Amino acid sequence: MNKKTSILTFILALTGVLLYQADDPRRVCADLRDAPGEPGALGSLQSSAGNTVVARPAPVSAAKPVYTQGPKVAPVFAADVPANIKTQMLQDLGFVGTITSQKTSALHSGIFGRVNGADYTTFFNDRVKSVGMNGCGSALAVACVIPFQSNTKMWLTQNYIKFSHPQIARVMIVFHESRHTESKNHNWHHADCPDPFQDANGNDVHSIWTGASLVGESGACDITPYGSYGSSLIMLKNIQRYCTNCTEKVMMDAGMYADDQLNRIVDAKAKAAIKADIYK
Amino acid sequence: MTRTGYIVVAVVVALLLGWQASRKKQETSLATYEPLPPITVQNNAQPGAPGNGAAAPQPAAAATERPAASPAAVAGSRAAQPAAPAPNPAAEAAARLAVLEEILSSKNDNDPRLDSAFNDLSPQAKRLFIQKYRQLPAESRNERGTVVYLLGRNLKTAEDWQFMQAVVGEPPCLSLENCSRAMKAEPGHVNTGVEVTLAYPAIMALKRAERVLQAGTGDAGQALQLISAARNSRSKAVSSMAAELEQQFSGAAR
Repeated sequence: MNKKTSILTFILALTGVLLYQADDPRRVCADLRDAPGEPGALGSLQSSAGNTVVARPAPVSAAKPVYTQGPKVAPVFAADVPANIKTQMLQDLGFVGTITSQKTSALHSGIFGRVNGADYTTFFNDRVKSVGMNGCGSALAVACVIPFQSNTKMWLTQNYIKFSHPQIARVMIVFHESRHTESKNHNWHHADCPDPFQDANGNDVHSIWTGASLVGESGACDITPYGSYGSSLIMLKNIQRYCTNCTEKVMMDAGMYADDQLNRIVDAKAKAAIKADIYK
Repeated sequence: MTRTGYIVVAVVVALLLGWQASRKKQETSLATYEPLPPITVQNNAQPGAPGNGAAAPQPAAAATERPAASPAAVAGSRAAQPAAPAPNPAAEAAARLAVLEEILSSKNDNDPRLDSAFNDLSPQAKRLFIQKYRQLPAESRNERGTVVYLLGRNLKTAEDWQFMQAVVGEPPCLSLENCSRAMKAEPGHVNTGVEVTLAYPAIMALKRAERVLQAGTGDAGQALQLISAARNSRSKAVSSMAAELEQQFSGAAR
């Protein structure tokens, strides 16, 4: 073999090896991970096992799940939290962690970021560092934050699993409570509902679905879109309108519970801002 | 070319062949990853938005292309879906009920099978679902509402509507702990969303009537009758929603 043939053969061999490596199947998985600087762009799911499932893009397979490592759900659960309550809360937060969308309203963007699982997870994890059990001072309560004890701890009651709320309602409740951890915003204290509390037609204001009167209810209203009622209803309304991977049931539920919260916003400007943002 | 040269060329050729073979194998293996077809492939996503009629931009796409909600759900989905359509209606109905029960026990409302596995329910399946509804404790508001939601997507006969009427005519659930006993009303925000959950199955029935009227398809007369019946509900949540719908669709053909 002369020198020329040897060089040619070497180049051919090298090309073959490079082409082989370039087609390494691992690349297919790497493509599915979130792009740098855009965490959760594909949507992710935190399972209790710590695995993440992301959607595989077309054309390979629109529904094929791929398991990779994803963001962790941060809160530490106290030892007194029963396993079934912990599992349910992780499942609910895991569901929120999967949400994807193409659109986001302006108010939502200012509060949570995108209508996106990664942004919701970050929002929640930034505020709630631990979860414990408490009666929350009410037989009806599902969750609460007790600011004089801790501004980073959320308390759950047995009602979290005892009451049969739709999943999005549980999500609404824990995100509502997570807003109450914000000490820099005075924990977004609620306002008393006014008395008289009348609509434009001079009728007493009632919960939109229930007819329950809100007149004069203590600490049951808000005067800003950014408080616990406003933020959680903005979250749910965005999910109803923009979620691209939610079931029809979740989207319907999100709309119903969001609409129910709207009458808790008693300041006309705040209500108008929410309507202009997400009800138009 | 010397003997060594021939050997090197042979190695190169072997490498190239190996590379081509690996490509082919990968393509084949990807094809096997295609998801199993749902029990019913038909997409009956309806026009209009979920909820109160606000525009949802992608109902059909969302119904058909959403990723699985959880690894468990995916595994369950695959396990629960028969490889081929069941020839026996009773077996098919039982299979659907099994999927429903699995979803209800998972408490995962974002299970994609809610959109895909319950389209075009057979009369046998509907009967099993109604039986399941009646077996569920009254306090299982979300579970009962989910059954109503699924049956509401399959409204075809007068009997289907009769069931919806029975749901809106139920006595109000007085508390989430015990439907037959009211809990003491409490001030503040602890009752957030509670009233909606208490009335959830009936609200689901009314939402379906609303959807029928909005879409202008299906039996508008039955939908209006359902709303009219709901006006008489002892649940304020149900009667006030029905009143609102009645006002909204008062011009709809009976």
